[in-house]
Amino acid sequence: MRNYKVEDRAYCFGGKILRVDLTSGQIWTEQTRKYSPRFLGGRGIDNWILYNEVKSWVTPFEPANRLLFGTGVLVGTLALTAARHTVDAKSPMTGGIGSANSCGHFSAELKFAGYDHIVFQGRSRRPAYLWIDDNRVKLMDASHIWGKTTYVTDDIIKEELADDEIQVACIGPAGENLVRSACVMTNRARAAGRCGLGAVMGSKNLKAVAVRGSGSIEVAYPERFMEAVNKAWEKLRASESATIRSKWGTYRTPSLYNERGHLGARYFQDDYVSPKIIKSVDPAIFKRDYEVRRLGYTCCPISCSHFYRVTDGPYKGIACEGFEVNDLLNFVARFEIDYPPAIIALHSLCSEYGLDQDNASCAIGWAFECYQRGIITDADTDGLSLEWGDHRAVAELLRKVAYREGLGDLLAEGAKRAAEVVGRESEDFAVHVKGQDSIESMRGSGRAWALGCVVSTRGGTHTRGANLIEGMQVPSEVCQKIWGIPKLDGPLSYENKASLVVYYERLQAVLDSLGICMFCSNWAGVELLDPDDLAELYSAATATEIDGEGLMVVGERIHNIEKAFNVLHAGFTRRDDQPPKRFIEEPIKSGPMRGEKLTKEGWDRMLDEYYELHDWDKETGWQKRKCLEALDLKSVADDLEKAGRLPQCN
Amino acid sequence: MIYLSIHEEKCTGCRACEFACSYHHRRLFNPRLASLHILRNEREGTISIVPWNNLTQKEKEQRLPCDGCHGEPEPLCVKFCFTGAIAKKDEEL
Repeated sequence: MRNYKVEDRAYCFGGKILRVDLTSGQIWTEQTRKYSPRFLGGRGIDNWILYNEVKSWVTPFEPANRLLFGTGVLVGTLALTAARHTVDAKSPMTGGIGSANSCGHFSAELKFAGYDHIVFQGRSRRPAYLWIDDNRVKLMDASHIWGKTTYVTDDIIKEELADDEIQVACIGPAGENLVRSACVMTNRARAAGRCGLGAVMGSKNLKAVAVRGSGSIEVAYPERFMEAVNKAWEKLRASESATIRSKWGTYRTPSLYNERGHLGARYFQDDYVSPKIIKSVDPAIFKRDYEVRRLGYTCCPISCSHFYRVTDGPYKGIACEGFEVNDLLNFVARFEIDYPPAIIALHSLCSEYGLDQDNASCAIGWAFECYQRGIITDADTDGLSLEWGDHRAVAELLRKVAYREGLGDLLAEGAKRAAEVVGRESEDFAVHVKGQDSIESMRGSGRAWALGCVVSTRGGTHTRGANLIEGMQVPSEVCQKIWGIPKLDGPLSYENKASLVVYYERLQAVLDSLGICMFCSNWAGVELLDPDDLAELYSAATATEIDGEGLMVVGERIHNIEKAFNVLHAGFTRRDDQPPKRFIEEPIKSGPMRGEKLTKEGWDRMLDEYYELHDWDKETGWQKRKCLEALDLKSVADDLEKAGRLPQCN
Repeated sequence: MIYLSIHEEKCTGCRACEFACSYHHRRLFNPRLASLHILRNEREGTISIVPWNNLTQKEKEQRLPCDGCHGEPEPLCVKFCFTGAIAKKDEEL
């Protein structure tokens, strides 16, 4: 066991930030305490470093971009679900903040090696991977694994380092080929997806990070900490939503999703999928015929992941972890695929190529609609027929995207950029937010859901302020206590939705910085962990006393850093906080939500309220000096002022 | 030393038992010190739970011996097994 001096590291931290200059090969460390507790850890510290070190004129694939890995503060302890790591860089999708969060055993291992974060800069001359063996850190040649899939990469690295328990974060061919939907994979199945961070890793000629950590994590007040852990465990055990998620994973109620308008059928041409298709992919079928076991990562009692095996048919032999609710949106709804083994296979293919299935399948969905409309033809697809329901065509296009072959080269850019090339009004139905493809349909699925997705700092995605709470039955006194609103008015009302979104933006920033999963927080159900519960875990672990309200202020600070990054780097304004055109102009065509769509008037009212709650300027959508100074971010206000992007209304 | 009833098919590989075990021994968290070892095979989707008695000699030298969670109200690997993959057998050594 490696010994360490407690005074070298704060309680509950690895203590160091590992810095790697891939151009020079230089490796050094700095103290994490320089940044914490002001930005907690994980996403908070990552994005503060990114904000300070990447200039606004740097493009995502330049060596000057940073690529950061961050562990959450509570990772490496028994805090439930503390298995999360964050990957951050300037995003090739939006030109703004790129931030992805994933679970796995990688995060805790990195912390046991003594590192809370890794910051990569520069570009290696040859393919390389970083090998962290406690405090022995070196860059290794990766020429022999360049071009290999993530599965093979994981195998080779473990074999050559002669340790099957090493944790590996790596990219596949998609990242190497700078596909904008490339992700960073750990444990063969866990993706730090969206934002194209795998492509940033590829641009640095960095194939993988392998880590073995044998150190310990010590908390400040062990008994108090364990009391907080026990309390959290009791809450989870008593929670119906956590119990259901444990049994079924994230994929459990497809017909409910369908009836509520969550499923963008045929690339959002409708938000209702034929019940016959939904029936053919019933979760019970996957459980009965394909599920091998439940899987979970570091100290996670929810274990929403499962391992699947296909034992017959054309996909016989496929065995992989995965299959999430995203597969329902991405493959069942988008392409009307109704053959369960094909869905498992498509999920596995994405993992192998290192493709974020959300972004990749959206661009492919857009191509299918172009084909349906005759905007592209067989001559553009190398003879591939893009017929709805054809899983083989989707599989082939995923391969083409990962290797940038033929039409795949165009789709590797994402739907927005591809539509700009193809033109012929295909821009009108390309569904994206701030340049990044969106998997979320927003017409009938709830206004807080839509607002949270659209204003998200990372460009779309439902893991910032979007939430499903608005569809739940919550007593008014609880609404008042948690969100400061009198009641929930149902998903389709525009009232009070901004308050929900702002609350969850703050909470999500806290969760991503502590390394805790949103599924055990009150994002998933009001009975689950609230900011006070998280604050008690954090205080007992680090000896930095803070309450729930204080944590949420830090969450707001982290969110504001990302917002400022977007304003400075991508020039986003209120105009970029508008929903995809399709969701305002085209109503849902069938099903119980038929006729539903977003209204411009309702949206603008909700957006005004949202800016007011953040104390941002309603006209531009930009941050005000007084808001930033109240969050101890004066330097950010100064930067925005210098760039002429501080509103004149303070 | 306690007898554990092991049900590998229920194990999710979350390793909370290892974390809890190291906490019992040292009041800190380090799965490599735990008296039991969880092995995940991510290619095949299999997981092995290796209790103290079944560890190799080399592993026993690197880890801390199981003392039946002496002083704890209940064995922590059992308490923090969320799925019932590790349960306590009635008989004790």
